[in-house]
Amino acid sequence: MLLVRDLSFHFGKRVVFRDLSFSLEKGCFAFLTGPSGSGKTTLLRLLHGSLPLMGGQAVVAGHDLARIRPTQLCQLRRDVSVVFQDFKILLDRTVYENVALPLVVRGMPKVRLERRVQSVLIALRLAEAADRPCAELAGGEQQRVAIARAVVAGPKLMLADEPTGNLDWALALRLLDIFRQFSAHGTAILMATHNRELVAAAPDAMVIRLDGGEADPGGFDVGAAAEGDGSEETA
Amino acid sequence: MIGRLALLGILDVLRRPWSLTATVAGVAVTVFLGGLFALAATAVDGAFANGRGQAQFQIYWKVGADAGLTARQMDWMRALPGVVEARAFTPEQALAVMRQSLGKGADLTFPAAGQNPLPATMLLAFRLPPGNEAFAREMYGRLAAVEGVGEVRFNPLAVDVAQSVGFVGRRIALPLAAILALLVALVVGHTVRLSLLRRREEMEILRLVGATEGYICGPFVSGSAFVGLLGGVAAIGLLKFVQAAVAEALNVPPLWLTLPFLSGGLVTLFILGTTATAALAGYVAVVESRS
Repeated sequence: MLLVRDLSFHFGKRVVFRDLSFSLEKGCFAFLTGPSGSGKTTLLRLLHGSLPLMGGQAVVAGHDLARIRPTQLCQLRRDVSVVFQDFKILLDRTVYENVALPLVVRGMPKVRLERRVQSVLIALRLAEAADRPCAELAGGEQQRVAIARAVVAGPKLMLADEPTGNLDWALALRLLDIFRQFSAHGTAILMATHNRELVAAAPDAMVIRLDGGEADPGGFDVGAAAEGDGSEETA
Repeated sequence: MIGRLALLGILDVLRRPWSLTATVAGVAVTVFLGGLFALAATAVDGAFANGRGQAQFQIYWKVGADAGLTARQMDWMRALPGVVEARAFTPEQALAVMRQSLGKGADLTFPAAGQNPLPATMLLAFRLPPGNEAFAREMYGRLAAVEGVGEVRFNPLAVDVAQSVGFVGRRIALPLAAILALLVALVVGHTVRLSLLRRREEMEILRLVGATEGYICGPFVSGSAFVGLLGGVAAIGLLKFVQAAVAEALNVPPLWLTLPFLSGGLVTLFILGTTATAALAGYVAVVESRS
């Protein structure tokens, strides 16, 4: 589902990461960890086609990023969805409109679209808020809208960039549970976080650790992740 | 599909009434200012075109001149060779016009009760015969010699100056109009583009969910074109209102200036130009959001 080999990226003279290699299979759940500035967000942006490949190889949901053309990026983004810490939802639109957006841009017939959106809204306990503008929702609800939008089209891979960063612990755990459920249904998930408690809460998950960046005493602790049963890859 | 995207763009714009109103107002004011220039240029051009090759005489009869004789003299003057325009006013008509101009509250009672102090007057315009430079002076002499005529006004210098100014004006009008059109296009374009800046995140989100560039572009371009169309139509409506008000104020004695509205072609050009510029600005905003 995701193959990264000898991947390197730099902003000007500053190397963000070098010779990064890992792979994710279908339905795999993995944490992407590392201190602030270690390149977690950069890697996710790169895997989503928002940044150009500078060195190495990355095959994402069957799309070779070294060969992908700008006009093919929309196809990549239909197979790979993203969830951000700041949600990136349309606040003036309703929950239903936000969740339906990926299907609307695909031109899905209305009946199928409605059925699909309804089932996702029910799964994420958003059905009652379907007609409410997202601006009226609480942070946790907005995050669930972002997740609902990410999963509604059945992506092969989901990239989540600190999706629990703005949530309290109880909500973060619930969100983790939702991600695990989707992972169990076959969607590979790569979740960036520097929250060690969250990583510890999913001991069977794979952990990909990025070195570099600034020392962050309040952030991720490598030792905590190593205590889990999940495999760990270090870049 | 294209029609659906275009409709989507218009509905998106209508979803934000305050933003729409502000942008349309900005576009309309800019186009209105450009239109005012075009209106003034059209009026000046028309005035010079009318004045070119013509000599105008304002004839005043003496107060109390015999009305029957004056009417016959006016008919004679209308029939003179080379007359292209003749506008006559009896003392009663002149008084009525004065009442209309000054309003109902104006006190138009005269010391000699029942006697109208205004003279009969006539405006005569002649086409100057080519090669006959003495025509205007000779005509002046003929008109001044008519029995009962108190005064004839004719200013050949004014005609010459008007012709010269008209010639220079025509030379600079085109480049000035081009610069102004560019200025209006830039301001309209930037107004629309700035209004779309706050929707940049929307474009980003559409890309995130796999929308094609065409899908993103379509609604933004059509929405912007719609804003431009509304702004253009509003500006033309405002121009028509101002033109009607000013034209009425100018078309009174002693000015008798006519202020024609923009031609149909110019109106179409203004509206289509504004719409196209706004659509282009919408496209540029989408392209800029890619970076």
